[in-house]
Amino acid sequence: MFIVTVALLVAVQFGFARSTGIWTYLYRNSSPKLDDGLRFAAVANAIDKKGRKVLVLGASQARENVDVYQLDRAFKDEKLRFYNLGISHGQTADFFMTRQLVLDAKPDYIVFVGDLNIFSSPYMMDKLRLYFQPEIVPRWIEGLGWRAVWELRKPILNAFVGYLSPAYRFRESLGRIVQEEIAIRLLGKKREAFRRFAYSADKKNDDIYEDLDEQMQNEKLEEVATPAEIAMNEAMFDEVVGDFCRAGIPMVAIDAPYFEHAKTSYFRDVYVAYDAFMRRLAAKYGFPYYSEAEMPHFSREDFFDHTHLNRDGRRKFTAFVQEVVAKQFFSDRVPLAP
Amino acid sequence: MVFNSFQFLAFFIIVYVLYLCLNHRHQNRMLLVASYVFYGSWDWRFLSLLFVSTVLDYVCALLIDHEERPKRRKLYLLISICGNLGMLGFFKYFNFFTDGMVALLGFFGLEVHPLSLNVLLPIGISFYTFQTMSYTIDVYRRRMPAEKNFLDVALFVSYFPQLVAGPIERAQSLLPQVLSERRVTLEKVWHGGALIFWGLFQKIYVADNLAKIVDPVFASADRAGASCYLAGFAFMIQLYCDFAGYSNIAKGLGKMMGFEIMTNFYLPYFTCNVRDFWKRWHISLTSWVRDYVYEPLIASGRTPLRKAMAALVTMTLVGLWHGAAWHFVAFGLYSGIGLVVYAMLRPVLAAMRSVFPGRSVVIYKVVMGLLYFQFLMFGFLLFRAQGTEGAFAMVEGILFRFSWGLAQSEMLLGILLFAGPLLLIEAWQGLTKDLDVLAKAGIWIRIPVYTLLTLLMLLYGVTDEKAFIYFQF
Repeated sequence: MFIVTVALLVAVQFGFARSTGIWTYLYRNSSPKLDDGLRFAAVANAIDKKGRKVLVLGASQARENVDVYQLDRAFKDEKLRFYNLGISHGQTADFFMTRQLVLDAKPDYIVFVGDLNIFSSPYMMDKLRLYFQPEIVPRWIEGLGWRAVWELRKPILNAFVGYLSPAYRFRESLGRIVQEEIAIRLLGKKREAFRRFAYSADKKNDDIYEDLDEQMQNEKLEEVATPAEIAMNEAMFDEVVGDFCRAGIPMVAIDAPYFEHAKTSYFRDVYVAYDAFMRRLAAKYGFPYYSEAEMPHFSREDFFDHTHLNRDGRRKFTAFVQEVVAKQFFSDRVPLAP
Repeated sequence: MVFNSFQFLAFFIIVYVLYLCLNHRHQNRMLLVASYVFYGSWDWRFLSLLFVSTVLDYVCALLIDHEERPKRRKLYLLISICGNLGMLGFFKYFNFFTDGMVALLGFFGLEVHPLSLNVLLPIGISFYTFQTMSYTIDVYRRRMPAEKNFLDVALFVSYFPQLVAGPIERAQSLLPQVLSERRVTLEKVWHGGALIFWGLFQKIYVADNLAKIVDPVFASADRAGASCYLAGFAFMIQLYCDFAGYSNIAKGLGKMMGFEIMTNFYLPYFTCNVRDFWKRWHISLTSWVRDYVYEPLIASGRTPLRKAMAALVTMTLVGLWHGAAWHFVAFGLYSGIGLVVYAMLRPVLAAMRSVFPGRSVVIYKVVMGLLYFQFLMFGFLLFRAQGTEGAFAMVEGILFRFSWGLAQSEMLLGILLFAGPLLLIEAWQGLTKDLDVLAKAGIWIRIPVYTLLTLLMLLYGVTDEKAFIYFQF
């Protein structure tokens, strides 16, 4: 009976996980702020394996600053579909763990919108379960040592259970959506309108520098990974990009815009190291890398916070991505005006 | 090391594999070491207390058993009781009693500087001291002989499944199982596993999720009546599932090793009177105080007045057992008053019941059950509110500021989502009068039910290893 129950559990979960209808429902009833992992999985599930496609990868700036619907419309004639696989607080380990999913999708092109913190910030374990693949464990042991990984045994075990059980992997999101649905059906609660982006309003607060100063005081911005972890992250990212190149997938990397001089005032050292590494990698694998200097100017009015764009800024940045894609992959195509 | 942790899972797998490979004598030694490791994982400093309590009662029991002179026997018993209660009193009640003394002296105009110590409460002390006292008391009453093997007595005291939060086992029940060979059969392993599963469900799905609904209401200064009422209702189920969950896991762990640990809860909310409730709630404690406090108090005369006073004293002690705070005392007194009033009203209630002949008695039971439920809920408000003032504020909100809105509907929905499966299964257990009805059901019922319960735990089970509420007692 135990074996039958386990088999039934596995079958039910994986049956649901293969249902496009269920993923569509979950995506449309998810929250962009609370259900990032679930949305990532829903988008991954929706990728048309046969059609021509561009995958937008990266951290939350990829997720928030790039409007794939706008790009779909722009490249309608080329029958090109864009899928946004940006990860909130995306870090190198997340890109490492999801690289096989990207390769399996067989994209025609990859646009990577990187954040300066992806190598230098310690891995945020609370999202491990959402993207976990067991192959990360030996890499961490190799890069950080047994003792460091032993300290992380609880979240790793937790993530492993999520790896075995889709229901467990996305439990917070699924639980919340189920409860909301019950409240809507039984209590007549109003269903929240679908939102594609977390940040569309003009600004989080009037003074973004005040917000940054507060975060600095709370030491949220100061946490930097150890040199060993940074080196490990850079090596992992090198491997990820190498895999894409060996699979013959053309790639372009674009730096995420930051508010005014926030990069140089608050993140100078980290940014310099990140920029230098990306340039070396771009030279090694022959992909174009667009730093902020090569982007259009984003004014105060374009930002929601120090690194995420609001509705207006997103439109502008997406138009820039559109130009880059057209230039890099469709060089005979005249770039469209933003 | 809480039961609902990976750490405990690893610990138990190792212990169980060793247990199955060893003979009886070595099983006992291994279990003793494992129990001390288990207790030491909470705080190794308190292992000495556990050891001292064990040595004290081992020696006192032997002395009592070898002594014929009644006064000497009584003296050794007194040493055991005073030693155990002294330890319990110091670690649990020192500040409570000194603060009370200071307040009393202050009432008479005497200013005394209170001596307050930061005394850590050793986990499980309320449970194992009562357990060891039951051993010496039963030896004194000549209900059992004293055991000569110290290590077996030590295992009886420290057996890890029930060490930190009960059930409080009687020596007459557990010690013979320690001393004799135990059979582990596939049926016992299955049954034990089912109990552990059910206990985990009660804890991580029901109790810990209801805590998320309950805690904000009790912490809030805004005591909206309907929210307080729902929070009280939810807390009753939370407390029950938290404690019963632990007891079921303990029972299941024991079962897997061939031990029969007592049932600590028997559907306590499916009752319609206070007397029945206390026969079904925390049975190991209530039966302990009945046998060792209540019965001796009424031994010299079972008059209604004496019984009423004994009930008040016993229940007040039950309240005090839970913690060194006045609201626990108030909870105990409230329950004692309930028992006394019920005893007085029994003839009236019997007459009312006779109005409902045959199957229609169900109507009487349901109505009385609902009324008793309200009485019980107010008692638990005292228990949870961390102070009589807080409890009265909530009662005031319920009685005078009861308004229902969407927030309360959502709260009720949440409570039903988490408590609903439990209530359905317990209703089934109640109708069949069999707590194991699910484990014994046909395979085509068990499979979907266990699958659904597992899915619910995967989705909603709280995994941050929240401690069991009764650890604080």
